[in-house]
Amino acid sequence: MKGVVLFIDDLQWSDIATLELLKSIVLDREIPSLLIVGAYREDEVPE
Amino acid sequence: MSGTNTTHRSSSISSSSAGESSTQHLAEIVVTAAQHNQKSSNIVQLRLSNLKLHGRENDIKLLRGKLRELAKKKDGDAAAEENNNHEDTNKNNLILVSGTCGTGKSALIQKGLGKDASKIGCTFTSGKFDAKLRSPLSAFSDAMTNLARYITVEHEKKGKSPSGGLPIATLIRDQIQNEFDDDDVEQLRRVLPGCAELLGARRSSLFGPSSEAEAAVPHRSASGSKLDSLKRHSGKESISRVHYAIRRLLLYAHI
Repeated sequence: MKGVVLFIDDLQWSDIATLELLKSIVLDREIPSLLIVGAYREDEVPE
Repeated sequence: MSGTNTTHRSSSISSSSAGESSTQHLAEIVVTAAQHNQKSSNIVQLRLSNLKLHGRENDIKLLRGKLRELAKKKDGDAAAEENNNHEDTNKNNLILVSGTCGTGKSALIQKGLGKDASKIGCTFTSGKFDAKLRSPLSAFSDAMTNLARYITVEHEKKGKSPSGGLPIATLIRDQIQNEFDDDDVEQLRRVLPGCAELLGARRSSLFGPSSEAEAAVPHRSASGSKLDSLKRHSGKESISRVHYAIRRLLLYAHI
C-alpha cells in the first residue's frame, strides 16, 4: 500500500479531542505517507 | 428529455409506496420539484449522486496532485533515508475544504480523491461527524474502523503476513497489548469500538494475571517508554493513547 487518505467530514461538529488528535497526527513524522483531508461548513463553525 | 423524466418520476413514486416515511417524503419533494422545474432530470440524478462535477477542474487537479505526491512519497522514502533527509519526505499533508452547506465539499473529495486513491495503490478511509450524535472522536473512530477492516481483509487476500504465518490482526493485537496496559486497551476499546478485533479481548479480568502477562511486563515497559513520555508531556493521556494506536495502525497499513 502506498499511502492512506484520511477524510474527516463535517468538522464543524467535531470536538476539542478530535482537533487535538488531528494536530498531533499531522505533526507526527513517524507516520509515513498520510494525507489528511478535512471538510467543514465555514458558516457553522462555533465560536 | 420528457421520456427520461417520466421514468425517473415513476421510480420515485414506486419507492414512496415502499412505506419508508423518509424515502416517501424525499420522493414527494423530488416529484414536486420535478413538476415545477424543467430541469427535473437533473434533480433526480443529484439524488442518485451520479452527477459529474462541473467547474471543479482546478480543485480536482490540486487534490489529485497531492494524491500523486502521497503515492510517490513511499518510493522516495528509501532514497531520503540514505541522504538523512527526513525533513521533506516525512511531512504529512493536511487539506482543509471549507464552504457552506451543500456546496459540494464532500462530493468533491469523494469523487476527486476517493475514486482515484485505490487506482494508484492508496487507501481512502473516511468518517463524518453528526450534528445530533455528539460523540467525541466519532468520525475518527469510524475512519479507523474502516481502515482496520481494510488492512485485515487486504492481508488475508494476499495470503501472506509480514513476519511468520500470523495474520496481520494478531500481529497488531500483540504489539498493542505489549505496549499498552489493560486500562489503556480498555479505553481504546471504548474510543475505537470497531477495532475490537485488533485491540484483543480483555486479558486479565477473567483469569487474573497470567504468567504470560507477567512475562510481558518488562518488555512492555521497555517498548512503552515513548508512550509514557507522550502521556506525561501532554497531560492529555487519552488523546496520546489514541494517537499512538492510530500511528500503529497506519504503520501497519504500509506493510
